[in-house]
Amino acid sequence: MNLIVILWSMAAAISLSLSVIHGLVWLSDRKVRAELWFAITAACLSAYPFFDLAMMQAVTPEQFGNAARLALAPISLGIGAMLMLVHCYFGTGRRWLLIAALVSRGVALMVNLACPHGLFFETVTSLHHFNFFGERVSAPVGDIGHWLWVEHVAAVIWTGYILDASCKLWRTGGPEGKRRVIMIGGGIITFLILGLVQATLVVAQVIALPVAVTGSFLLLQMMMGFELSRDVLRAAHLARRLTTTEQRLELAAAAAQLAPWEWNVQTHAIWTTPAGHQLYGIPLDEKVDFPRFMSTLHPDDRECVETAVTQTLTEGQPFSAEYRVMLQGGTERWIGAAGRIERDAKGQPLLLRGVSMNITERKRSEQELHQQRQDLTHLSRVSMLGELAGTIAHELNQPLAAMLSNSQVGQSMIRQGNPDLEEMGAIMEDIVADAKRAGSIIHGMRAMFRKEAVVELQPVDLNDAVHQICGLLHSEIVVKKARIELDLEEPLPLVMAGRVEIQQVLINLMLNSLDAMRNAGTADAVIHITTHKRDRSVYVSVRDNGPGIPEEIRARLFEAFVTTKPSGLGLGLAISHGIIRRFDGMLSGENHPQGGAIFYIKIPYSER
Amino acid sequence: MSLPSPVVYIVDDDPSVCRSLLRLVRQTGFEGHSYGSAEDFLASHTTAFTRPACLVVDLQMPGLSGLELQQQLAKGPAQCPMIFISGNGDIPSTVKAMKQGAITFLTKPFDTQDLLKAIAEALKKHQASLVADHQLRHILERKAELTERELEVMAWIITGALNKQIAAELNVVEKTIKVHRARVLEKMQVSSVAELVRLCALIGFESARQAEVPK
Repeated sequence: MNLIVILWSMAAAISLSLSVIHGLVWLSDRKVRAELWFAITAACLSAYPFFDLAMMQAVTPEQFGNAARLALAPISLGIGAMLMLVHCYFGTGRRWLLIAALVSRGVALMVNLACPHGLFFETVTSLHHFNFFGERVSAPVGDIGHWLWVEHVAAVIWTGYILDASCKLWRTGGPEGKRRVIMIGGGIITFLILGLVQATLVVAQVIALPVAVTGSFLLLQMMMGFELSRDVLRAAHLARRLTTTEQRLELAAAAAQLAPWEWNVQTHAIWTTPAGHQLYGIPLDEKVDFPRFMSTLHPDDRECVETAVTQTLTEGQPFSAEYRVMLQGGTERWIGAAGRIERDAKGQPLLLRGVSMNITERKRSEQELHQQRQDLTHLSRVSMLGELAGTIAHELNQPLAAMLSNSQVGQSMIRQGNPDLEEMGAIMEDIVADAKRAGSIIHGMRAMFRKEAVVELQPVDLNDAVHQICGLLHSEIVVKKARIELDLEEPLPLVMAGRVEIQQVLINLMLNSLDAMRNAGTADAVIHITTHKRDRSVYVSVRDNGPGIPEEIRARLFEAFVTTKPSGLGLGLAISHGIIRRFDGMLSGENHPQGGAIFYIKIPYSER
Repeated sequence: MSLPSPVVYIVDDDPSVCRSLLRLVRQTGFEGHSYGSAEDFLASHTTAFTRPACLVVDLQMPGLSGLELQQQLAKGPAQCPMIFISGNGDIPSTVKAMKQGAITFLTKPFDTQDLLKAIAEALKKHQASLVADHQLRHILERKAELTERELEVMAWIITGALNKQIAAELNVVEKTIKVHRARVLEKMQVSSVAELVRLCALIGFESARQAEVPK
């Protein structure tokens, strides 16, 4: 067997193998067009070695000329495919330049086929032989083809295209792009130019080599194949990493009890993990869409979730919601969801992607905390009333004493016979009034002792509240040798608040003032209470002429456990502050310029 | 002697209590007046009482308390027995009130009988003291009629000395002493030396010192 034949056949086989392999790769993933173009390139170039052989084994000049003429066909087709490959793979080539290159290539091929001995030779006059790999091969002798310039022009154009695409990719492609440029762009130019130069030089009889450019073509294909294979390898590597990443994500999501989800706004389909199915109580095999999701929600929460979704879709802000989900068997579960919107090329919402989390524990803690705060407020209120027990007893004793005296007077009048009915009537009236007075004090007490599960907001007249408190604390004020001055604006708008809680705050402030003034031995102790409305809020101020708030606790006045009393817990103001805040109001305190401390309660009201 | 009818004064800041106590007092047959504060009462009574009176006072009031009223009255001329009533009596206040001379201390709500008993006691006491005051005044009036000499003589008479001894002490004749003695007894409106001694003791008139005590 001829060594050259073996080698050239191997070259063809290698080309064909590369073509088949990359063709199969393209078939499995049609999106990677580069693979297709390379397969075509390799297929075309696999035909070329046969023409090379034909030329080398030509016996007559005519045979050589014919073979040379036909040899350009697979080369042209191969170059065309390579240009398309560069276009796909680089993505940076200019379209018009590509078309020019392809067209010029086509024209060159036409011209070549038209000439009897191809573009390179006008005529092959004779053959000369020499040894090549131990065999006798032919090389042409003849005149340079007149149309060779067409070939050169085409070469310039397609070289230009490749250079242009390469430069652009080099600049913008990053390290990946740079490698592509070197391997593919550089490779094509180097080896094709090498081939062209070799052919030209052989034709010009400058060098003594056959026109055997198979070698450079093969090297070129191997370079390109290697480069493209890198992508295949990389894809496999990425796939492995992706699997690992996905596994890690699943693990993390499972550990944090997160369920990622993706809602396609346009098709309404929702993708989620098995954890997500489980979280929402949807069977694993059931497909989820938006209406199905909504059906899992607690009826009371559906509206606010819809509102949140609509807001996110229209205004683009991140989605965030907390809602209850009803599971089979009637159990409730609190879910917190957060997500972000993704838009398509036109700016329309395409996907809402986010996570859901089981927050039942947290919600339960929150509710417990709220309950404890309520309990604490209640306890503080009860304890405060406990301190007032003595004065409350005194308050009740007044009407009771009057009632007893009146009743006994009435009895003795009856016993004496012929009672004055008008006088009896007056006595009865007084007894009734006193009984009602005692009743209202007790009623007020009961309301304050009662613990409510939920503080019910009701319209409260703060002037009324002030009057009631002054009545309640009347004895306390007398005992502490103080007096009250009221300056109330009438009429005062009603505020939505808890009546009992407001009274608690007022009692707290007044007891604080009384204590401060008594401890400081203030002569002529006065508590000045005013109410007025301004800027959609009702203001109540409680001012005393005691020693004022000490400098060192002024900043921390409303913190828990801050007190100036030796036996005080320091919770009163903290709780009062919390109460007023719950009604959207503010409680503040400072020292009055004319001495003493003044506290302001501000609660907004809504025009009805 | 017959004194004007008794009167009960009520001082309490609770109007309902005042009204009910007034009714009680008037129904029992006494005259009654009520005041809403200790200051009001003090303003209306700046001179001594001329009729039996007692005061029913609330312990805790804005302004002057019942105890403070008690102290103020003790410094002035208008004094009468006090009865305390209170809705919230603590032991220190009770003790103080009693020590400062209160008749009794009642806690609200109290039985009207208890109050009426206390009022009766108070009025009786006041009446007795008014009578005693009156008598005292009368004695002093009589004493004021005596001349200086007669006062000297009276001082010796109540020591139990004989006329002769008195004459010797004062360096006058016995006859003069006899005359003085008669005049003293007449002016003082007594019929015996024993009575004179009693009257002098009541007004705190000291006897003369004895020059020599017979062994």
